[in-house]
Amino acid sequence: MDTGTAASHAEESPLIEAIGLSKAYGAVQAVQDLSLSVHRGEILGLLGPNGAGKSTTLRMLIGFQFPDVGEIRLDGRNVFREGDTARFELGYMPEQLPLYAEMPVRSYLGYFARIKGVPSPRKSVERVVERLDLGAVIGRSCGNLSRGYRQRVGLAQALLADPQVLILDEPTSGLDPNQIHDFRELIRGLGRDRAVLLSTHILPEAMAICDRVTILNRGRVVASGTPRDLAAGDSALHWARLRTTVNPGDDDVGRFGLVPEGEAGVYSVQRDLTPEEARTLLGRIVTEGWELLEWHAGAAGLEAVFRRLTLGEESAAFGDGASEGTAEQSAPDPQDPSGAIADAPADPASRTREENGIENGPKAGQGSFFPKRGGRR
Amino acid sequence: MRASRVFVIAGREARSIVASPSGAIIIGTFWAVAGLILMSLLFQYRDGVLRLAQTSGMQTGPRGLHINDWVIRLLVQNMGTVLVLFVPLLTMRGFAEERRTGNLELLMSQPVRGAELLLGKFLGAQLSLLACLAVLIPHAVVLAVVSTPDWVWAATAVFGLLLVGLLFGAVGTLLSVLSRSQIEAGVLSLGALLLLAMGPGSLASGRGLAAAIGRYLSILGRFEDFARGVMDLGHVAFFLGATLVILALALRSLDLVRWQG
Repeated sequence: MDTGTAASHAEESPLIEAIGLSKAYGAVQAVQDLSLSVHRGEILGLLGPNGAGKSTTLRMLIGFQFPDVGEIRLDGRNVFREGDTARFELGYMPEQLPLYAEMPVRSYLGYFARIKGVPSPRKSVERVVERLDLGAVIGRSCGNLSRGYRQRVGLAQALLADPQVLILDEPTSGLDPNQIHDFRELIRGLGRDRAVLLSTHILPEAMAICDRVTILNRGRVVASGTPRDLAAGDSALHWARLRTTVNPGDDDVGRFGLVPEGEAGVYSVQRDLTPEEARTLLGRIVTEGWELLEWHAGAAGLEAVFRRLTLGEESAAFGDGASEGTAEQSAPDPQDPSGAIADAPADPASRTREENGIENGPKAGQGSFFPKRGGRR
Repeated sequence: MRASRVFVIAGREARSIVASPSGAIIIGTFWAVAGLILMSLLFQYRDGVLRLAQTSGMQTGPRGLHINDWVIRLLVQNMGTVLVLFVPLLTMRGFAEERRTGNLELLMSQPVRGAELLLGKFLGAQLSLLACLAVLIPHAVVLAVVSTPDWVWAATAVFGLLLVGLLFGAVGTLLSVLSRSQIEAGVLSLGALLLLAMGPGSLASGRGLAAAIGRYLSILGRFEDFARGVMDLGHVAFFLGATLVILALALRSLDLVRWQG
């Protein structure tokens, strides 16, 4: 999301807004103090392991399930108090699309068009049939559709009233790679002028199409931000081998965890560095004229973030899926403001919630965006 | 509340029952049972007329064996009992099956009010019940051919049957809202309708408060008046009021489902 878009988001009210939602099933707290917002032109991915509270959250957002506490607004309207008018701007596609097996696709879409109260049901059906390329199966019974067509019919149903808000539950689940590609393109296109919230288990999908992601675990938001920010937040994993012209001072040894290797003047960093530490070390290398032999920048990726936040830091193999590079491949340029390190604020702990894109977490005891030190080597 | 949405939902609900194989079996069986009842009553009526003619030489007519009393009243009363068995089959899918498949979630994400959805489902079941009761049209033709029924009486009796159908349908809809599967809804509805039909009547025979309550709540007792051709507005108000109360309970139950998820 560029700054212009972010600025316009700040001005206009969100199309999807959930404030302080909580929901318990008996003693089980399914969702706790969850807040999120999605603006026009934004795609928010809702991530979380099974049982994290995603389905309950979606059910509350669409107005099917009452929260114990909290408020939900779609396009500024309370989804429970002004339910029918609020939901007119809502298109919802459940994961397991419950089509009426006996109904032909045309009748099915026509039925929902009339329920939605669109001014011209027939034209609406024709529009979505054309948009989702359903012409070949328009007369076929819903029960005889392939998985790919079922998903398309589900999305067509959601788009019948040309809603401003789309909530999609695992929209590419069960599709083949070509269908997934087409669906992602479609969702990206829909997200340009709508607010789209999608729940997904597929992390590359979130990286590919979501402007922001919110990670749920045990009913709480444990992280929220752009996929790049979340992944970059974990790129604190830097370590280096370097050759110094003179022995580094105690300050440098202590600050960067430098440990001499067998070869004279060769030191390695024996712990993970935060982005700020890495940037400072690079500055020292430049000013002291040290030779950088090797640099590994661990862009751990969203998957590692997800695993750490949802499994706990001890369980997550932090290096899993990390794309590590050598100095030539991935050493950040201190002068390059677009580099991950150059972008990093002075102290990760001091990053503001806004800078992190955090709306509602992480909270104490739930892990930070940055890994524990010394977890890799 | 927008009637158009109610009718859209009712139309689909009725079609899903009537046009489905199981719906065809239900309606076909109802027609067959109703046909057997009519045939049996007509044979009894013929035998009665013949016996009476042989013994006393009386003709059929108001002072003799009238077809309204011997056939229409008994036909409608028997069909009221048959409704106890068949209405659950028509209402059990309504909400329970939608809930099981996830369609209820999708429907509630539409700009539809709970009352619209409930009334749509209820009316849909009533339309399919009308498809069952349409068997009375050929029955009326048969009766017109073999005799000269009192059509006002017959219409009053059928009106009573429709009121019973409304009340039973409301009970079935309520229990479908509260059930997680159509089997559960069907069994619960059957039990509830049997209790409703038989329970108050069994209390009504004694004296005291319990008997008075039993008589007041006796569905079969009130229905019997319609079957006799008596149009009692108090009975009409009772059936319509009870139907509305149960539908209101169903609406609150739908909210309960939304609390529970």
